[in-house]
Amino acid sequence: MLKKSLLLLGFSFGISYYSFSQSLGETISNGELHGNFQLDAQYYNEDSVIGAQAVPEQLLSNGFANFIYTNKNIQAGFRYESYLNPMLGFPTGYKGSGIPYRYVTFTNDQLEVTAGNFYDQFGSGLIFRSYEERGLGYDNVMDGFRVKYKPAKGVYIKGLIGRQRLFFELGPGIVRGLDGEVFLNDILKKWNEKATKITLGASFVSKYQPDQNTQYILPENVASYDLRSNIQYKKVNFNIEYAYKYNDPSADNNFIYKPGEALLAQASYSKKGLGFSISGLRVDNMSYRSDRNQGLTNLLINYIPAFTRQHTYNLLATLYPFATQPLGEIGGQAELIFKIKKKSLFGGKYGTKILLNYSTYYNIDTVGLNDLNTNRLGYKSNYFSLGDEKYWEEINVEISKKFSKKLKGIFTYSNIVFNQDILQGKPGKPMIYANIGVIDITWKVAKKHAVRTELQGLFTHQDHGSWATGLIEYTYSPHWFVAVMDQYNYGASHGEPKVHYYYASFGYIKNANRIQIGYGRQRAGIFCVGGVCRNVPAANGVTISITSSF
Amino acid sequence: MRTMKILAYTTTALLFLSLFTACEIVKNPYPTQENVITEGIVFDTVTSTPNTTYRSVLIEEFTGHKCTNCPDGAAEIARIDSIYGDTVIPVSLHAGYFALPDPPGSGMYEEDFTTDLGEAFNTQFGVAAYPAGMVSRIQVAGNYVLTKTQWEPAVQQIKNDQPLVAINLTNLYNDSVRSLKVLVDIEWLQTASSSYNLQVYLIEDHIIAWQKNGPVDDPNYDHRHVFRKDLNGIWGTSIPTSAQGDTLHQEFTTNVNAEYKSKNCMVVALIYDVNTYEVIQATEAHIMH
Repeated sequence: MLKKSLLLLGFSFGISYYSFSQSLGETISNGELHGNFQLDAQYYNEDSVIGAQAVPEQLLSNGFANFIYTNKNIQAGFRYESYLNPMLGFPTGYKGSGIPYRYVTFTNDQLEVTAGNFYDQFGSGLIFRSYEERGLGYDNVMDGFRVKYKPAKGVYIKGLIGRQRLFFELGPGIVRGLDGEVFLNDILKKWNEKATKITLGASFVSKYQPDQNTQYILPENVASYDLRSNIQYKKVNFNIEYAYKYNDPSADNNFIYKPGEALLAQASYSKKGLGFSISGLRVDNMSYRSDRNQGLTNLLINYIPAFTRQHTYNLLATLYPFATQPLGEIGGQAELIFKIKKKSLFGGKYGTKILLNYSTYYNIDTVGLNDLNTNRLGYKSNYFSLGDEKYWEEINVEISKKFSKKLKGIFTYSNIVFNQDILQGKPGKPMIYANIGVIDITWKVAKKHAVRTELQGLFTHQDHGSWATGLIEYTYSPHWFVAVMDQYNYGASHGEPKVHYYYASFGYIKNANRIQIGYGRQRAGIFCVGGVCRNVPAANGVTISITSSF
Repeated sequence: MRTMKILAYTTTALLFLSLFTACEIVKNPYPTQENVITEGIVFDTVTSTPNTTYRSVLIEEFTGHKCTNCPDGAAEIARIDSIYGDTVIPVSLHAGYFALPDPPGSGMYEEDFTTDLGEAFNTQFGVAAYPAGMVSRIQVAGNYVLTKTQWEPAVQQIKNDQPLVAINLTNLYNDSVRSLKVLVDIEWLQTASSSYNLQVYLIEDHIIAWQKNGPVDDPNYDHRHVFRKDLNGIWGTSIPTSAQGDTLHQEFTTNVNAEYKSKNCMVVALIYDVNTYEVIQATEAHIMH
């Protein structure tokens, strides 16, 4: 009898296990898997003319592969990264391989929960932004939990806790944050139809790191808050944000106990054929990291936006780009875009697009308190006055014009004032005054065949002197492209050689796959994305880049 | 109804916020300095045994007066101490739940042997069970905190290592004003490449007080090597990394609490690698003859 019961039990268990595994299998196969892959590698030659080094490994590479699985209300994914060894100019801490990013997210009605790694941002990021910028070797992804709740239409509350990525490890500090936003027109009935749209937001972030310092009594919990609002009236948009950070002595600010502050305001107007925007920012002692002893771009909790034009032409983008100064800066930009109508005097047959951009940054106006042996507040700052040191200025004009069905051009002029001492950390170096011109012409030779040329000139008496760049790129759509470029430092003086930085590349694209191979010299420079920068050393060699997605 | 809902959400949000009120505002960044009389008094001078030829092993034991098994740990330390003599330097850190004192007037377990350093170490090294100990803070199978049977093998593992550095202690103490001046002389015996901190402890031996010993509440238990205070911060102070033959002299002063028995007090000085916490050398000396 007993034997029979056991048999029956075993049999029924077998069935239920079978049906469970079958249904699990079915459930899993109902989902979708997507991913992408990127591999960059470079073979390095020594080149004493430009100061490029060879590396003992001869070849260095950075590789990434993302896998994301989605099934109804569940999403899970991971990223495998491999730096064997990190390419020159990237932080050497990345050496090695691993899975620094993995997560599961599920959504249940109004609630979304993420366990594992996540990226997020509160407002403009003044007190919290976790993001990845591969080109910079920047990744401060959080590892912990995030909960997002939408209790009603137009309202959300988000809470998160975790530690930040530091290469293949986690930083020592714990970051906790809360963020909420309310769209007033949704929650207030009588506002539903109003032309004025208002969004209010607030966030709070606190970091914890034990105090192991014997010299100072350090705050182990450092909090910050951020208040923001966005007002839109028809074609006008206005947005203001204020952030405050409590005492946060760190290696960045020489362990002073002064609170940090940031104020940001942006206004814009746009209609067909015309757009205008103006933005300003004041930042005072706002470097915020989950490890007070870190430097460079490691373990930053917040992000200070850069209000300057983002350039892509190489002399403009990588010789003297603006870098944000979280310890103190005041600046902003104004931009006007308009289109001159077709068939007018300046518009021609196809119309002309004109962009004018002006941006400038100064230090903040401070008075030292001479209290480094007592309260260590460091300095006092005058809120609305500029300091006496200019960090940056740019006047930029860009004209885009189509001449005929086959010929179009973009003409750019820029005048840049660049404070090398501050923005590049080169004390004692003179201010750089540069004029830059770019002529970019695309000629559609025939169906599928196009030739694009760039002629760039940077004229300055400071630093390495003037430069010229020429580029020719030929595209055979949709698969092939080939390009040759030479950057010539013809204005080098003081015994520096006048170097040609030649570079040739070709590539093949098919569907979601892309391969590019290049050879030549790369100039030492600074690579910035959104005011966050990395120094790029000079290099000589073969580069290969492969990307693919599925 | 809608207003109620919004009110409820706001309240919830505020409740959440209260969880995050974690923020400390420091008005005075510098730790308060003790006022120690060192001028115009006569000192009793005690020096430590030179350790230029061997590596001393520091045993930091985590214990508590209400921990029933801790006397077994203390007995194991006494046994190891009797075998290895001067090579072994024991320190008892009273920390964690079992070390909490009972309120005054309880009649038992009123003494508070806990210290900020003990609690910080208890947290940092993740002590989960007592008695437990660290042997020169080396890791055995990935753990700093070792059970009592692991202590002696760990001592044997490192006691014959060539020392990287020698520490010489000179304690100058005046018992009537109870001021203590500690002179630490460091000599690098090999060139060292990591970063190092120096820590200076004041410990007290033979404190007679309550201790749970198995089922028994013993009012006359002999507490050995009790950590009392640090002289230079919980994690010590950094010392410059040096080449073989380099020397360094540092001085620390403190007042010795009137309740401590001066004759039983000792200074322990140690140097550890800040990257691994490993104690590379330690020494001890009484504060008076």
